[in-house]
Amino acid sequence: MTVPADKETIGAVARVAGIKIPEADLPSLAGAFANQLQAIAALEELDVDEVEPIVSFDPRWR
Amino acid sequence: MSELHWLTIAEAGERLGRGDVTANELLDAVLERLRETEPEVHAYAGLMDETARDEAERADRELQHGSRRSPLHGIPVAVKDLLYTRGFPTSAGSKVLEGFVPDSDAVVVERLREAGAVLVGKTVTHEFAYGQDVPPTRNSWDRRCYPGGSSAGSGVGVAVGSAFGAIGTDTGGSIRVPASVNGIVGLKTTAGRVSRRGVFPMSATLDSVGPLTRTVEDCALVLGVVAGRDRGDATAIDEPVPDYRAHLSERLEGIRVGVERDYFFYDGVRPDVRAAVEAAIDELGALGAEVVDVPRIEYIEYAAPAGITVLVADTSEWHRRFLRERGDRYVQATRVMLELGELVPATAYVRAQKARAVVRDGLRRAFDGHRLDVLAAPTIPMPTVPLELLSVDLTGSGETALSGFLHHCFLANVTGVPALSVPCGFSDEGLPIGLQLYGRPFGEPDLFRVGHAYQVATEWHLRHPEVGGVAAER
Repeated sequence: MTVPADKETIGAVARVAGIKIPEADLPSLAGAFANQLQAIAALEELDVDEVEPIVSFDPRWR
Repeated sequence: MSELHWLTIAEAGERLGRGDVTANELLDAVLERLRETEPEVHAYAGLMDETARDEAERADRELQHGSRRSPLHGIPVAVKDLLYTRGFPTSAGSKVLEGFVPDSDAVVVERLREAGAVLVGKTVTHEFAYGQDVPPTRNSWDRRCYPGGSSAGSGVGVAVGSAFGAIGTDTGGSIRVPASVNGIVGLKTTAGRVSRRGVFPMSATLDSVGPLTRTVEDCALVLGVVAGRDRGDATAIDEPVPDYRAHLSERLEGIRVGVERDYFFYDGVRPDVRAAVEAAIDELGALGAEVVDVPRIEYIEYAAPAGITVLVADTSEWHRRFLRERGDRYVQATRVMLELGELVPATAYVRAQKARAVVRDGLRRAFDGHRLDVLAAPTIPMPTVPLELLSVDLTGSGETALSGFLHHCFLANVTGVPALSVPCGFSDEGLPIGLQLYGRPFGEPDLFRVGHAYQVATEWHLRHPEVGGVAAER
């Protein structure tokens, strides 16, 4: 993933998510976001085309 | 001074059964110990001493009439302040919940009460279990050091004797880390083994609720009480609860212990931790277990990136309303993580859930391929760290204390398997070291068997920290 972890990008994504980021949080959030993007990029290495995600779905009525 | 607070749950239960001690006396001993130690370690967020006295009185009355509800009958225990307690404040360590008093108990609390346990109080947690703030709790062995988290108070309270056992929660090591750094036993239970209803969540698929105790036998006793189906929790699995104590044994013939030295003994593992854990593995061999070298587990390096992606998104979803309405009441570091979770793309989240399946299958192949019962490793790569060296960035890509904890612990949450931390030595500076035993899904009986045999053969768990002016070795 090549999304930059700068304030402008974070601001834009946050607007889509519907949250307002306090100015004081931006430096820490930028660092955390950059690290999170690295984690997401690491997962890109995996071939998961034929893999079902770990989610729970039970159609029985309880 | 009374030494009753150092009894194990099993020993205290036997004495209660014989009439050698009363539940009130056990409660007195724990409250006295608590008064001595709290000024130094701050394990408790709130004391339930009035209701505890009522519960102890009831336990004693029932014992006098020959009724003993369970092995926890009359035993003083504590619960993490992340669990609902009826009529008693539950803050999850956060100002966001200031004034919140639940009108019901968490299922685990309900089961403890039904079992006749005496609830002493609520233990300190990092804010909403996120591990981002610095709580007032201090390490029981060195007040300058990290007490573990997020079940910090549960770990420290049990270690200093202000509870016989405690309940914690574990989403990425939050039971095993405080157990390791305080020299006690902690169990991350199999996903679905224990109900999560009435526990503030982080992630429905990563969270688990479990015990912290001073011995493996006590851990088995507590799990036997709190485990089992809950119709109100869709994640609680309807799997029979065995008599965990019945599986304890002093010998390990027939048990296969896997050791993977590439990932779990990487360069970041401190030499004294490596030596203590290797010695513990040798001891398991001497007790009759077959120790098996296992090559690097396929895809294991994806456990942490997959886990953190799911964790931040799941947690933020739950906090969505609070973040928008009371965002300023969070500790800033927690709020930043909640903001971060809002920014994770849905496609990345689904990919992470797929990656978990790949990691799980890699672990299953390792267990099946080598016919393992347990996998042994250090609980964490270092004993503990000075508080000032603790990075608060959970997503840190560099090598930090927290990334080291996740490296060793996250695999169990990501794959849903159980993992037990057992004290296995002390560092050069006298801090506890933990041996971690990973098991198969619902393999808690094997973990208890191995951990108990190890504790019967060793004495690490008999050392107690010097707190409240009193050092002790039983």
